[in-house]
Amino acid sequence: MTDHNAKKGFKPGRRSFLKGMGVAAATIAMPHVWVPNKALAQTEARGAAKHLIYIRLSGGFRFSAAFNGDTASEFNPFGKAENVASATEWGVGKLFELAGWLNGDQGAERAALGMRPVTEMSDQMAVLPCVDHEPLSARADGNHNTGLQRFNTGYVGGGTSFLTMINYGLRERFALAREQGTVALPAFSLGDSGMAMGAGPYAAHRPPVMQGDGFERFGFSAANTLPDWAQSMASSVDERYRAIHHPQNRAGVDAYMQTRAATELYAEIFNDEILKIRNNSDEPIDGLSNRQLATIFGDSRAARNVRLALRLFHFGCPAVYLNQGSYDMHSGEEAGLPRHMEELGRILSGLEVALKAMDHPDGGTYWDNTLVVCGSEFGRTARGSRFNSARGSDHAGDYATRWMSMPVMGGLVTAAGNGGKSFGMTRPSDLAPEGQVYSYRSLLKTLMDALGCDHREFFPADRPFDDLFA
Amino acid sequence: MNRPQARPTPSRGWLRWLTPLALSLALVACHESDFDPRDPARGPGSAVGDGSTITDGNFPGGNDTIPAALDVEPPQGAQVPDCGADCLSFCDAQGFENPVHQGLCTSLWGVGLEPQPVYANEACRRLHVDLTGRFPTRDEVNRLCAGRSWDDIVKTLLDSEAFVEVNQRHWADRFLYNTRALSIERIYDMDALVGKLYRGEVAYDHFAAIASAHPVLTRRHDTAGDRAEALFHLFMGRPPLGSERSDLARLYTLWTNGYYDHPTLNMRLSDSFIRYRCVDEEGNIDPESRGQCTSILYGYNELILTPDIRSVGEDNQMWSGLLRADEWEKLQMPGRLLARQQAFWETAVDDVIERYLGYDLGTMVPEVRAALVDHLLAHDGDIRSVHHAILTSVAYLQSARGLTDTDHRWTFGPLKQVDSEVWLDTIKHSVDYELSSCDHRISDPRDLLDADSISAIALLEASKWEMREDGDDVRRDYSDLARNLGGCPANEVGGRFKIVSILTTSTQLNFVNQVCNPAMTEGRGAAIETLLPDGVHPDAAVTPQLATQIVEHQVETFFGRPLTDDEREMAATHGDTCERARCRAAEFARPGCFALLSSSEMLFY
Repeated sequence: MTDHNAKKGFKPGRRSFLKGMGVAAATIAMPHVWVPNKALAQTEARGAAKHLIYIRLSGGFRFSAAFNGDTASEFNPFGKAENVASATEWGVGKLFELAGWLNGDQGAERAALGMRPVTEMSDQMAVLPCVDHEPLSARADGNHNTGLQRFNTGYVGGGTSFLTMINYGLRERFALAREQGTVALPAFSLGDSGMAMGAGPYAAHRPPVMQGDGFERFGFSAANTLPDWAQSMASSVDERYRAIHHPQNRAGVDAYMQTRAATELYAEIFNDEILKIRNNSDEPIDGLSNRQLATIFGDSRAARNVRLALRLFHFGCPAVYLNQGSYDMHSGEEAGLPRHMEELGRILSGLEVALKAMDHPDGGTYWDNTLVVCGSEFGRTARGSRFNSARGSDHAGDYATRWMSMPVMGGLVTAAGNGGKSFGMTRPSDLAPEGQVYSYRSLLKTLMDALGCDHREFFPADRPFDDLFA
Repeated sequence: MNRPQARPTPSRGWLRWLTPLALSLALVACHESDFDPRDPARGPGSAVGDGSTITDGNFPGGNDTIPAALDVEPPQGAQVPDCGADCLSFCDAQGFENPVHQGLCTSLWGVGLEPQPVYANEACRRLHVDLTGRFPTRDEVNRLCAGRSWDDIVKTLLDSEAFVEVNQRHWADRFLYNTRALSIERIYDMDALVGKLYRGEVAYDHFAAIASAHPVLTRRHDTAGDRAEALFHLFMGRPPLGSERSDLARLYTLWTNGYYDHPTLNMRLSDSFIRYRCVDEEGNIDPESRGQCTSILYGYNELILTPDIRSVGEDNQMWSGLLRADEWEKLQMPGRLLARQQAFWETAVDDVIERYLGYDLGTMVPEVRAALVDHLLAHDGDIRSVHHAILTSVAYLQSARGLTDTDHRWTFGPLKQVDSEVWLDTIKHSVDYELSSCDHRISDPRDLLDADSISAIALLEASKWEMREDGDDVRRDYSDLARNLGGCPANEVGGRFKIVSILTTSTQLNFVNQVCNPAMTEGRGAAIETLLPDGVHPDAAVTPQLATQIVEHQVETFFGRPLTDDEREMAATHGDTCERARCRAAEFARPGCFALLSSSEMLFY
């Protein structure tokens, strides 16, 4: 080692040139000195996405049978699809050929809307074959409890869920909307409270958890329910209680009175016809009616949640989390997995169609502004066989359990020319990584960054990455 | 853990008829294994105490005479009070018995500051919430507080089972009880131990020692260092320094986590095991590795157990359920070591201060903390003595209302936010609303049902959870609400929280809407009789006088206090509006119920 390390010469590439031009242009345009926030590690797509649909393939998913299908039969006993969209690099599992929802009259209607099997739309998504909760760990975490904790919060014992982080990261945006007398809905968890944790400064940013697709719990409106005198009485009781207390004791009461006023604005949204997704309305909303959404996605629980997600986005909701399937198949996977994956295929195909058909209130389509991501608490293994003795699969400490091969779909991916790409790969014989391994936390941070969240307080050792959007 | 794929389970409608029999059947079934579903506690907590108390509970300091402040210029703004010679003589002359007064005098009366006089009703309501976990009605306030000395009132409530239950819930939150991470027998055992602490049967240092080696702590954490850190958080009020963590961790190296199959519950329970360390292959203490099981930060303290026939398997492990009393005592060394530290007792005191005052008086006025520590030690570690001292002190008995001349926090009373259970239980009680409950000892009641054993169902039946009519699950109406509001925590990762957010406020408003039913939807809401004064018919025509009576009834029921003059005027005005619209009493009472029950007065006290 010398005192004078040879410095690498500066080679301006196309991207850095454009970056430089962008900085220069911004500096000229701004009437003040612009200093980039160095503390905020960010991607080129920062803030480019307005919405995220985050789907948990519930119970631990056999990713190698779906999104990393170019592997030995012990990892993907169903085989790899043969006819896939051109330019597809990732291994499309054969089960994605299943598309019974395209049969019959209703199937024809769906096909007319543009729905197609995942094998034919595989170029609309990129896949990260090797996403790992703990890349530096010696073995996979195949435990349901801790795996789910990692999935929800990034850590074992993490106290702040991903959706809470999103809401916290967008707090200034929500505050601005409130100042302007409008409401931007927060991220929602549709059916799972594990995604709604947060204590201390994060507690107030926990996402609402919806059980079912009704908003009864949040839709109360004093203005619509109480006579004027009772509204006046409710206000005066609070005001009196506030006024009699010592000024230093008023903060909590103030907060309550403010949130109470804000709930009126929420109630208007929650009572809006747009959110009544099962009303079979033919009125187009952003380009598709509730009846059309029902035709596309169906009426399963996951399908209803996807339909609701699209309507929540109409009101500014940045992210929706939902569960699909029940993949913890220690037995009966051979017969059971196709059925669940067929539903997954329908949801993915339906999302491509719906997002592209729906006009975004801010311009462009929802496809341009939305990311769809699937994950799970871990992958699954049959420990060297195609299935275990009960024709199912388990979860242990091996590569098959370790890798979440996560698809990311949306206009940001295809616009960057990354549709169909595989970022990383595994050796077919043993799933050993032969390319990039991503930490799960860095993926979460990347998604937060794409949504424009302030993520500086989360996952300090992990950085967002550019691969998907550059 | 691998689990078999979920299979369809038959309806548990049979539980409806089985329920009355379940407990007795289970008792018969469990007789041979000594498992009692009404009292499944098993662990070191059960072996402690013989039912006698360590003090008589007749603590001094509840009847101090409150002096007028010394006639000097009080410190302005947030200026730190400076107690000079006159101030010290003044305070010495008062002869206070209450340690809070002893410590506070030199920052209050002695420097010319006056406390904010409390309203009798305000004090009684505050005490009732803090010690029983529910707001009182006005009748209850009168029964509890009218015509009695404050010392007597406090002692009555400290002797109540409600006080014990409130504290059991407090420690459930601190230990993060979770029936998936911990054995349900161990949780019940710790809960019973907490009960003994607050009945005065166990000293606080003894409690900490047992807790330090109790499976609710050791099994909850993965590594020796994590266990040491958790102990520090619990009893020292701070994370350990690196050296403290690594040193104390050596006394936790024997613990490891595992499972055992409960023979009568038909459940696999998470529990602590002993993995023998620092011994050679023959089971003798290994001189070369014994240092790894020895703490040296608090003196030389070695903690090694030697294996015998009870240990099994290649790893030479033993289930903690087989530990002997002398081995438990050895394992409790970490708690005993911490209890020798002054900071241990200060943390015990600070915890009680924070709970009752809502601010850190122990740091603001350290003399209060020091006096309370002396008081606790003088009463043999009976933690009730600290509760009594604070609850009978002027720091607690101050009004949260009005203005003060200075900003010193201890010159006006606390206004705290209630736990969600307090809010729900109060509504449930005050309007007799049909609502179930949850049990802080059982985070996942469904697991007991899925065990498909009579004993597990009997245990659930004996808990505070209520079964649904169809027997397929417990009722979730209460727990779903409470968990949305931060209470009844499952403690999977985080725990209880208290916040005000749009989510919680929406949930609260919606629930009050259900209870009060201001839209008068047929067949919904609390019974109208509970919202009206005795003898008033729901169809009676509203007049300003009747409206005032209705509001008065509701204010007394919900807020536990009389109607104020301005409220009387407000009620008459709204009654007049209603009269002109030809309202019936019910049409006034239900919206009125909403206005009052949804108010901040139900959330802050």
